[in-house]
Amino acid sequence: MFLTLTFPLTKFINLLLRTFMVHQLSLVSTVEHGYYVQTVATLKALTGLQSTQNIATYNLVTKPHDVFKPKVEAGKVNQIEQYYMKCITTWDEDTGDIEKPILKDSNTVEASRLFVGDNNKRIWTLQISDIPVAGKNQTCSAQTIYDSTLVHHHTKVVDKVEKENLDQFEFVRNDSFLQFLSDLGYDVINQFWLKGVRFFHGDIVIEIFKVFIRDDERQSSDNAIALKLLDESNTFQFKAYINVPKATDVDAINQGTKELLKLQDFLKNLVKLEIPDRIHMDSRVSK
Amino acid sequence: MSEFDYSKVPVESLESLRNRLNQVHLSLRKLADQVNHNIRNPNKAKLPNYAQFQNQFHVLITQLQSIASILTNDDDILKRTNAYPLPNFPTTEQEALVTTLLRKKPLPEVEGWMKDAIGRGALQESDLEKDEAFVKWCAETVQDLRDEFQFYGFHSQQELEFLETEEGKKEAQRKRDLELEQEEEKMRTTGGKQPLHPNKVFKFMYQGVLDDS
Repeated sequence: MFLTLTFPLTKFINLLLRTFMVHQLSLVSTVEHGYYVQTVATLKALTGLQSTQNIATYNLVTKPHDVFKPKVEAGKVNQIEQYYMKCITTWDEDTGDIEKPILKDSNTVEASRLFVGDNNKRIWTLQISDIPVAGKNQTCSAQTIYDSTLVHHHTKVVDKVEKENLDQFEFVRNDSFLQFLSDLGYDVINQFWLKGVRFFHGDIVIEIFKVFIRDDERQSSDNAIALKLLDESNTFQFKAYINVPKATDVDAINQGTKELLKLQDFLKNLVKLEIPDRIHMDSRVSK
Repeated sequence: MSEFDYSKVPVESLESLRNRLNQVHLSLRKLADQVNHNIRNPNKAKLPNYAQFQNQFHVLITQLQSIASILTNDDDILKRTNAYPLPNFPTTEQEALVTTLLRKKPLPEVEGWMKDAIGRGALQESDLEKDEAFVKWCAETVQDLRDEFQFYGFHSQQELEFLETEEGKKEAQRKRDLELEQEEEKMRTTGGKQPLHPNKVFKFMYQGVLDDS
């Protein structure tokens, strides 16, 4: 993992020091909206959870703005890649029940603008993920994910600098999170919101969620962004995963794989869990 | 023939006690032999020396101690147990009675009865065979009878007749309407669109690009 930057060194070192690594084994599927209630009820029965944990996150997809091209030298590591980075924080607003379908003509889902207002304290998780492991006869996807968490105070600085209205981001001078990202060497290229529910079954985490994106065709109220579904068929994404602390812990990985397969077999009449395509999960920046 | 329940007999503690007593018996016998030998032939054999006696006593004491410990260990069960014949029973005079009373095997005449009963069981087996043949005949007959009928669909005759009536037709219409409604509801939620494959969603989540290809 390499970051190219001209950036206050202390902040950067701080980030590196607090970077955690997990090896994630996963299987995915989709759930039609009509089967959502049934699926949730089944999973409640399976996991024995009375109430589900809600997921609601706001995600920024960022890309390094400088191309890093080290001199290729013999005897040194030459395979250096740059990666897209995801920045995740919570999405706090109550946007209604996920059980109800979101229809085009009666859609009122909105998210408030984060990068305006004062003293907006947020916890951000910066996440970089490697391309999933390649190989034949795989039973689940295995991917290494690095993440780091930081708390950021967003303060709006009223300045005379002309505001750049790039999409909904208002670039304000000083302590903006976007400025921070820019200092880190990254540009925001897209954003999305996640909403769904989460279950725990042993070591397995099961997430059922919908992805929202910005809706430019719809007028939104002040300080808010109108949202629409990424998948307009109202279909839920289904993801079951296990996080293993080390990519080298073969025993834990085998055990995790076995558990996932057991779940796959158990739920086979409900959802068809399959291995996601690693190429689609490739977050390397193509040169 | 009623089985006697031996599970309540404290065989284990009694057996270990008997073994230990046997050992004590042997040790005492050995000691007595040595002493008697000396008394009978005072000139030839000498009395064993002091150290040897000491050793023998030591062995005896250990054995007695272990008996004592068994007795205390199984105190509970041994207190409630009687071993027959009791010490005051005139064993030598009444040997025949003792052997009869303590007999474990059935008496010869009882054995005769048992043989008799087993013989009778064999006679009844022929009845069982007859029964089985009858059961087989019944199954075959039922199969034959069933082959004469033909079954179609999921409705019974009664239900089919009901469907023919005015009310039945309404019922069927209601069901069709319900199905149509569900289909419409599905159409409304999906907007007639195909769901996105997880791969496409991942591509968007990882690279911020949604390609329609």
